[in-house]
Amino acid sequence: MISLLWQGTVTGLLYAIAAMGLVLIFKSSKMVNFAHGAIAGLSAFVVYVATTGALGWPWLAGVLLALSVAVGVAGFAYLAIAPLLNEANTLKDTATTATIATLGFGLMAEGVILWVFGSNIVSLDLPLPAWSTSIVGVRLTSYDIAVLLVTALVVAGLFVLIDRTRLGIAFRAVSSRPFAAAVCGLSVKRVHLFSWIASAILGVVAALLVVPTTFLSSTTVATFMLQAFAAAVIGGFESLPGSVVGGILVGIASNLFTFYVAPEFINSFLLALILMSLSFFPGGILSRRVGARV
Amino acid sequence: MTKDSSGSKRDLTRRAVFSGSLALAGAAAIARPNLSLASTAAPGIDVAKKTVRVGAFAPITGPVPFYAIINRASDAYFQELNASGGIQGWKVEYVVRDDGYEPARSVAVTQRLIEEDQVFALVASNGTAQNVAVIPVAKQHNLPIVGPSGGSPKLVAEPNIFPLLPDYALSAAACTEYSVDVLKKDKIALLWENDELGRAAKRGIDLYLSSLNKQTVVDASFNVRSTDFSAQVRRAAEANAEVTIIFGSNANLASALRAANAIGYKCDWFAPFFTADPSTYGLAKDLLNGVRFSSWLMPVDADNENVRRYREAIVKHYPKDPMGVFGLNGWTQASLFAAAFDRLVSSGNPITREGLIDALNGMSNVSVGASKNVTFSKDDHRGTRQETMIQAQDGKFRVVRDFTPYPSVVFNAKP
Amino acid sequence: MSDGLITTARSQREFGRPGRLSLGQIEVVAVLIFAALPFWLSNFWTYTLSLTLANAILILSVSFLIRYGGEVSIGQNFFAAGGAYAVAILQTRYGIPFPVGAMVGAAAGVLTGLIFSWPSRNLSGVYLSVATLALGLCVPEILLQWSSLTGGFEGLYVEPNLVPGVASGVQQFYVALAGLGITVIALARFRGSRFGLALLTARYNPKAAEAFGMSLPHVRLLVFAISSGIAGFGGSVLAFASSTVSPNSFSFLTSVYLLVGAVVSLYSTRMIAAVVGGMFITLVPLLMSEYGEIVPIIYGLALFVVIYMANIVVPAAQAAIRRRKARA
Repeated sequence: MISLLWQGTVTGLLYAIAAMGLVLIFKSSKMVNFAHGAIAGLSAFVVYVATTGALGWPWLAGVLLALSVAVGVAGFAYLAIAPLLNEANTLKDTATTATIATLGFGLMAEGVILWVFGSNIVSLDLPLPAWSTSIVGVRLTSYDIAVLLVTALVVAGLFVLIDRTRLGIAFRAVSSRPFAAAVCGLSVKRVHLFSWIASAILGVVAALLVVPTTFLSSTTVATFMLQAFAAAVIGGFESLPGSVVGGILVGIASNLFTFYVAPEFINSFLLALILMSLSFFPGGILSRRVGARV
Repeated sequence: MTKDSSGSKRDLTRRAVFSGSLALAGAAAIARPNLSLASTAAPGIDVAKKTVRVGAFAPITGPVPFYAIINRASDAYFQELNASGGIQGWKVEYVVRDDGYEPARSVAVTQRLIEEDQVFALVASNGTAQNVAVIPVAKQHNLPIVGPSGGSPKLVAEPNIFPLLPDYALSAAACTEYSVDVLKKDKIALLWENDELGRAAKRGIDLYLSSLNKQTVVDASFNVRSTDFSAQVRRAAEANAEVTIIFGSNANLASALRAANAIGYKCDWFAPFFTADPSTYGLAKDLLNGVRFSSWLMPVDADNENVRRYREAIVKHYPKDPMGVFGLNGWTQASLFAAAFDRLVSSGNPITREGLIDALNGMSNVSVGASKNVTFSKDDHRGTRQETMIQAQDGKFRVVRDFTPYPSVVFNAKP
Repeated sequence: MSDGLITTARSQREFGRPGRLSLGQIEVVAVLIFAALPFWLSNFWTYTLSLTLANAILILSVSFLIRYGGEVSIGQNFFAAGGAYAVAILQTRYGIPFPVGAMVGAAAGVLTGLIFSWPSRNLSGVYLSVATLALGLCVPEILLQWSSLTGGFEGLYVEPNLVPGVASGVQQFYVALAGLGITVIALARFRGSRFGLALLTARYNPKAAEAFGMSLPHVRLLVFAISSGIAGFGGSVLAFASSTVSPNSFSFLTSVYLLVGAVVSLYSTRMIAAVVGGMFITLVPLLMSEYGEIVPIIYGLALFVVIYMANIVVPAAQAAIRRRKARA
């Protein structure tokens, strides 16, 4: 039981990292990025190709290349979508249109993966020592430690960035009062771009951490994103701490459900989880006030 | 297939594209591609040129594009066959069209293969639901389906369909029989993928164990794209299962082996035949050693003439495709067609679809491709009746038991 | 989209004016040409066009939702599967003919749509979209669980036996054509009705609608239920037109492709537009089958290009023309 909870937490942290990426974009531009998983998957393949076979780069170099690819693709995607969003202040539906456009980017990214890397399933591990220990009946591996450390780093980094830097202040301003922020001369576009790039980096981090347990194919990372979406919804879709809590909850709940109930119904379970969270915590799990999210 | 015949395949497609744009304009009658051959010959048969055209639908796009490896291996087989003189001088043209793994599109593609490409038979058409969906159309034209890459009682029951791929219930029962009779272990955990594969395996294992008044100690499923096996493996570990049979993809197997390794759980593992594949070693590394597979095909690295020819051909014709069980499967399905067509030509009977069906029904204990002792009769189309047991050892796949008939309680059970 | 912004007043004006007749006439001619196609085409093309028409109905369900509700659903495969399996199960298990099955399918769509959208009725579109993502993904596991009823992975065979003695391909084609015709006419009448106008008011002028005493959550529920009802009906027609239902025909990807089709048809509820969308998602994979891997790229690009043209390029061009006119 304890080990189930522990495993669920570790997986949940991965959902949380991916969910934070979705939330960052939603907070700043009120749209959902359905290409999040596909872009992250594409980057994971870049790491694979760079570090294996003919290239054989060191792992870190591969990750740096993948990060730059992800940042490039996400930046390009945003700049392409930005004109659609620009009228967000005047037209009601532009966020919807932009959201549909991200599905287009997702399809393209998945198509590129298939086209360039093929349909094989490959294994992509983290360069970690094979170490493990047992504490009160719970087996702790180097992988678990790595996930924990990386999540802590990511959360701390985001906190510092958003709370302490000028960019962060601009981000908060734009996400709470976009019109006022624009009037005050803040560049809404730059803040949006920042959130897209940060989101892409989070996506790559989540993908690289999840792939050692799932292997890598053209669909694995995109599949994993459903849990990230569930985590973001439970967290309220507008709250970074909420999505961490949401991620852990989804991780533990899925693990318990898989163990005790019926693993073949995991997607239906996630649907139920999402619908219940929308009914009972419309403002997200961490929100005290209950009100409409419109 | 030689260079120019693959060129003609392109032309066919171009013609289809052309008629497509006419249909889009919605304004013209479409002349059906005039492939008319010697007036009396069956569709797809050109007696003058001694060519026979066969076809298949395959999921080149969609959720499982790697299944198309099967049809590329079939194509490699026919290319090699044609290069070495064909079937008593007959050359085979193989037309593969994409259906995106959608049964409705498989029906459309089959109609196109019948009407535009005028194929003589389908060979290694891909997917269970897809083959089931085309049964009515195929029946209407008495179109033989030779070696469909799908296993279903519905396929076995049709007079014009000749499957080699066995029902997974039989493979799973063979694994169970091996662990009870040979390994003397009966605390068995079953992890099954929630699709036709896993459900069939579950049926076979439950059927076999209940005949011994036994049952599995753990019965856990997982989703097709499952990522995390820690919960399922933990259940097997807590039940002290001595044997775990997992019916899923090779990635599922590797994930489960890793999850077991992470919690220090050890047991005998069994997995379906298509995971006895070099790519599984790529995913699971050393953890794969010791895993057993009940297989209707010899191992990919077997020292067998047919299997060696497959290995050489795939490198030559499709170097981008992995050398593995999917390919060996497609190679074997194509071999079945060649063997049957050879019998048809030898028999001196007219070369018709009925003739091919008769030739197939006359096959008894024939070894085709990497399979052994294939038998069809008029009333019984269960082509594969025996399997071999393979074990992963030091990066290789070794035969640990020769081809043995399926446990009869399951083989003779009503579907 | 460009005409996603029609104000209520404008759409009223359009409906009051008979100036549309020419377009309507084109449409009638197009339908007549279409209806005659099976006499020319091979079985393969007839069958493919039947699929196109059935897909067009499904596309209408997506377009309707976007146009009247401003919501994006990528879970339409759920409702379509419901309609398709209603037809298939009623026919194979109980021998109930297709028209009844289709009505049951549409009703099931409305009902499940209501149940599904209830929890998010107070919420904005994003939450609904994410919930539809989960809805779309859980279709296969539900269908597989009750495989004794649904035929599991193999699915069920739907016999095109509406009119005995008529070739099945011909039946499938005309049933699909009639199904699309009924949907388009119903949508056109709906749009002109008081009710439809009220929905458009709620959509483009929510404050005014509330002032008139409309409840926005109820409007949301209603729009979603109608859309899912159309999807259920479309699924029923698809089952008949394709003669096969199985989990692979109603995967999550199906919903994404339907959305692509809806975008290509500019979310229009007109027949021609829906057929163009249907053709796009039915014929592109067919014609590109030699280059399978790049089909998703084409879809993605098409989606993006159409959105770009409709939202950025065309409005800019219109503005430029207006400016030039003003100067002249």
